[in-house]
Amino acid sequence: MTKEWTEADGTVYRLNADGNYDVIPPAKKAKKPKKQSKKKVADE
Amino acid sequence: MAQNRKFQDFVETKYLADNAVTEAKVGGLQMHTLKFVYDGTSLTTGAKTLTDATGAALTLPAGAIIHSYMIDAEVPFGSAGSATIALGITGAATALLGATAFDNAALIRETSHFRHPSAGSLVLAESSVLLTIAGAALQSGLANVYISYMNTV
Repeated sequence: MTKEWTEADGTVYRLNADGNYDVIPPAKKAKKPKKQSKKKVADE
Repeated sequence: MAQNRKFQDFVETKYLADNAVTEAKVGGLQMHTLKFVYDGTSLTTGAKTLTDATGAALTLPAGAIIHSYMIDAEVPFGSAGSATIALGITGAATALLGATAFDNAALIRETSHFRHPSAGSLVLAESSVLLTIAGAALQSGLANVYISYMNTV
């Protein structure tokens, strides 16, 4: 029987000892730091 | 209504030899139905492997083409949070029913009916049936899941 697989959305299903599956949500991507607005840069 | 007295006995099942009606003789369209059970012993989030009525392992065979399924919640699903329930098979956990609110009509005994798979019908390899609880744990629930399928010809 399949012990582990990854769904299209990145969710991982992993068989555990009791015969059920742990559902591991996809890792969140790190947010890019916000760019300073041009106006703010000009003010400085 | 007129009866055909020569044939009315002929079609009684007692005249059929064991296993006389095979897949080949009905053109591969023989429908099979299995009853899978979610016994409600584990109400936490995660994907639960459904069993037969005695708690023994039960799987869909490789090559099965799922025609329809029905969820019969013998004990209503309950949750203090916004729990969702999905139904699928190993390798495709939402193949039959995508994440659906626990109190949706599809999951309530009185309003549930046979539905077609939402994402895929073909079972490529022997597979367990999974009921996935997400969002929040359930507080109650026990369901029979009837799955009708035919074998690939």
